[in-house]
Amino acid sequence: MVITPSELARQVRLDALDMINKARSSHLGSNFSIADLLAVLYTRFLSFDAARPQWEQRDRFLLSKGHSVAVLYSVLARVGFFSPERLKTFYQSGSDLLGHAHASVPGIELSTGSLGHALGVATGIALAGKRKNQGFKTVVLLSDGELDEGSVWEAILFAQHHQLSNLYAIIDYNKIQSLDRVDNVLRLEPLRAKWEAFNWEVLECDGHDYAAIEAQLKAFRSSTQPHVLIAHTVKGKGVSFMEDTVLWHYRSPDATEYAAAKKELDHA
Amino acid sequence: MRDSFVECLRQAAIKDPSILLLTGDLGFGVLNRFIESIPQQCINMGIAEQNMTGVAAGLALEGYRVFTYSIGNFSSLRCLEQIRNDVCYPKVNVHIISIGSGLGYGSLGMSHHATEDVSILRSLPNLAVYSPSDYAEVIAVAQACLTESGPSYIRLPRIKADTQALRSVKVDTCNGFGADQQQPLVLLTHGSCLAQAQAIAEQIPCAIYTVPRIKPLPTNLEAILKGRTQVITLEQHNLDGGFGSAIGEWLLDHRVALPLIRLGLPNIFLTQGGTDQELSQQAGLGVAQCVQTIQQRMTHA
Repeated sequence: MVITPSELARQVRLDALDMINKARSSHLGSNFSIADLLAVLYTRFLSFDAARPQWEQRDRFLLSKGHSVAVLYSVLARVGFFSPERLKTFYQSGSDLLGHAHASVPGIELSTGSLGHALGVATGIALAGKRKNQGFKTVVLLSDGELDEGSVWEAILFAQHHQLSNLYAIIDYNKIQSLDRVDNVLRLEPLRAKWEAFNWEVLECDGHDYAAIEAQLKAFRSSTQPHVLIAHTVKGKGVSFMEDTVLWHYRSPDATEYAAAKKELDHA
Repeated sequence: MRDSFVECLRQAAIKDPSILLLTGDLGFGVLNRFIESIPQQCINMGIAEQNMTGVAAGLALEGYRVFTYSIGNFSSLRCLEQIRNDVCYPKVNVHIISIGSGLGYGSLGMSHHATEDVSILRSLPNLAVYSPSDYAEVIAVAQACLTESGPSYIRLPRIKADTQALRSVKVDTCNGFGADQQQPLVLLTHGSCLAQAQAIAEQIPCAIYTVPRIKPLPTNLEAILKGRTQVITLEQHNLDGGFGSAIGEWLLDHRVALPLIRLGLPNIFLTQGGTDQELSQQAGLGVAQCVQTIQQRMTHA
């Protein structure tokens, strides 16, 4: 079955809403922010074989912002890594579908949750691919708030020094972090100029425009630089009352909010 | 000891291209031979230990056996969460080398004293903790790191290894040192304290055993302690949570009713200069002070 990015994104938002609602957990805004990016990655960009999660030539995808894992679990289930039934165990006692990305789940490369880790590990994976002359890509999705972590900038320095052109970073730039807007916490601007100054190949796109995401991911050309896509996103994208609010980083929906969100996503 | 360890790595790496050595821009005069003979297998990561550890984890996930190298606390505490989450949790083949364990960097000051590393790192699941005392144990530890799977932490003293003093040791046992192994008092030590242990034994007859692998504890511990009347531990490490604590926990857990005297550093920062021996004295861990402590504790038992 061929699934389009828009169909996949709509489905995984519905799944994530159900999963997080049932779990009484949080991070809905962060999950919805990256749903479209993941949908394009898994339908248009990444090479993988859901029947063989450890296929040696697969592209490696690492979710550095591990708290947004509900949509990733859903994507992995919907593209065939495991049964969507398993999504019902998210956050539940005895389940390994934990609230942060967990590598025992097929398709998850690295257990994350503490921010600022995955770019370094991804850099090591990309370096291994280059040393072994293997063709796989290593793709890592980071949050904007995560760029506060110094470890990220250590990896940024290292990756460009070693010309890891098989490494792709994607920034979920929704401009809101845990407790406040990025501009009020630790200003990142000029973000593009920062990455360019660190000698990465930089492209930008609307992180909810499927065609633009795909076009930019495929537009990277440098063979001597790592690549970063700054994806301008909206936290909570897809549910009007969750969009661009700090509140929905942590808030878990009550019954009325759940019903309203479901209605909006059903009719999307 | 560091030269001997790195030479073991070099010889193995020449035959096995999957062995990589990452350094945090340290190893002056120590890594030269490795770099000259197999430059493609040594990567200077810059002064960026968090990234060094993360990259090591990524390389290890792809099948490499990776050694990270730095001094003091730089390869351990500076990047502790990367060790915990990215190395220990996935149980990858990353081996963390710390040079100058204990007070080895003497007058360089508190920043370079690795005196809490054992207590902190031995609490991490899946991580083996090694602290060899002499050349024989360095070789045994290096072989273990080159063959066993899973991560490890290796603290190496700055003292020079006597490469002629080969004794029969195993990496996973307490290894007897000297002829007095039947004494009712037994002194267990690790790392840089072997000479100090010998000096103590000249005044208080005791059996000396070195313990190259602190975690998991030696497999023959029960047999070594059988028939003894007193256990003494000696280490150039904070008393809180170190090797002595590990032995104390073992005695409690195994309901072995042996008195224990733990010799180590008090829970303070040392603020003055000195060699590691002078600093030990400042901290109350000189040979004469240890002898006095043992005698007092045994008298008042």
